[in-house]
Amino acid sequence: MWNEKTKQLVADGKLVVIGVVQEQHAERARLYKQWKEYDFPIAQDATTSLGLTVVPVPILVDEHGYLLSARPRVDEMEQLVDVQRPVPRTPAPRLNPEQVTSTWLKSNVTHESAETKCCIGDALLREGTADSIKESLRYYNASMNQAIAEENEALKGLAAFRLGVAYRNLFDLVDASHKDPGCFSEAVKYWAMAIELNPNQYIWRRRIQQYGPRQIKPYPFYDWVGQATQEIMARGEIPVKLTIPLSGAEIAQPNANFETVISAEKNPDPDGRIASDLDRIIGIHVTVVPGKIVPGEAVRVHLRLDAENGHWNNEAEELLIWIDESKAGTRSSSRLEFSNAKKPSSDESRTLEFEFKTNDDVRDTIHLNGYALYNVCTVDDGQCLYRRQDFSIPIEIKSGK
Amino acid sequence: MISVVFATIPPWIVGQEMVDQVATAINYQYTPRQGKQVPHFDFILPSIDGGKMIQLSNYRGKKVLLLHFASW
Repeated sequence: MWNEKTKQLVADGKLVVIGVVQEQHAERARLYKQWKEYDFPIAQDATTSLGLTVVPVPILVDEHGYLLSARPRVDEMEQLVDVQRPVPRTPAPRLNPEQVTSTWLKSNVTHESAETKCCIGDALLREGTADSIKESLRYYNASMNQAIAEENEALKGLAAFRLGVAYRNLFDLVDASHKDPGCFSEAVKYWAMAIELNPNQYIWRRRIQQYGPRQIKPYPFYDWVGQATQEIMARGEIPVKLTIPLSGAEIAQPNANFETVISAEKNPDPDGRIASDLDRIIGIHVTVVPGKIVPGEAVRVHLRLDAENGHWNNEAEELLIWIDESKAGTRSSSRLEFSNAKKPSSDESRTLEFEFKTNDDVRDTIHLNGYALYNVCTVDDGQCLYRRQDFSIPIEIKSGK
Repeated sequence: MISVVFATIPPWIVGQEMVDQVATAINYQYTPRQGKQVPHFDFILPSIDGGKMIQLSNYRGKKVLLLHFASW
């Protein structure tokens, strides 16, 4: 809407439009920009560093760098851009680009407050390498510890949210040598902590909902991606490629009623007769979202299987996950399958998701059991094997409702 | 006042102080009044297109509409 309504003002040289997107994955924002045909520059604020708690929010800044109007209406824009503001006696300060780099900050900061540590963490996070992200974690942790010592709940929340962003960035690193699947669980833990500290921060709240169960979703977060891709291709363009795939949770429709689809097929290996993957050819990593729930609530379980010491054998049966029945609640599915890649062997991470709704009387930590059956080939001698790996998923329950 | 803070701590922190003010204003409908000091601010954030940074103050001299939105 804003793009269309302001086009003429921009064309007349009266206005510049800059987008600021609250988005962890820049490539998704690029696809969105391409789809909507936005022709203005867009900055990424992955850590909510500008302090917004909700979106969308338009802000009009005058030609001297001073706020002219927060949340202007579309129909008053023409009038507002014609407002003549006097030259201020004090020019608005400008940031020095060199002074927002981690190198400059680490060398020049003498005021070691929790805020400054957060700022250094932000600078490191923006650099985006595995090493800089890991270093940002140290600064954010130090910031949070200081905020705790100073009993500063607001700053603790800021640091906690940033820790979540940094951990998720590490999880998403394309370079497999730096991949740490446990980082997603850490991200979820810190995002939950942040929203506990500031329940009115809706941008932070959305991060848990993005990966969480359908019951807590206000809307499907990225269901537009399929439509956008089709429409962009129909225009004869090549859509921005998403290197970080959308999880099932991110395109799932909200549903207040918990749905179950229990397979008619029986447990394929009830007695555990398939040989266990004792060499951990496949690593199974579990993230439960939210990390803690009250009795009666649901979680979404993200299972990521990595070919850590071998390859997927795609010429045999597909990867299968079985989730055991539990007295603690209801599964959305008992059986999950992952389609083989279209080549004889492959090494990709495979992600499968399901939901689990707890009963009202659950207490402490409950464990959901299941196993994976898969075909793999070893790295050492190329031997192809059919293996089973059991897992137990802990679901933490908060006390009281 | 912002100018006093600016004199005592590094400028990039002033940026944070300023955005805190602006954030407060925009999260609770803000209309500047005649004669009242209004917040000013600057930011430097990465472009989603990669490689370059976007700095608000590079656009001084023109009115700037900042559209804060989400792609989710």
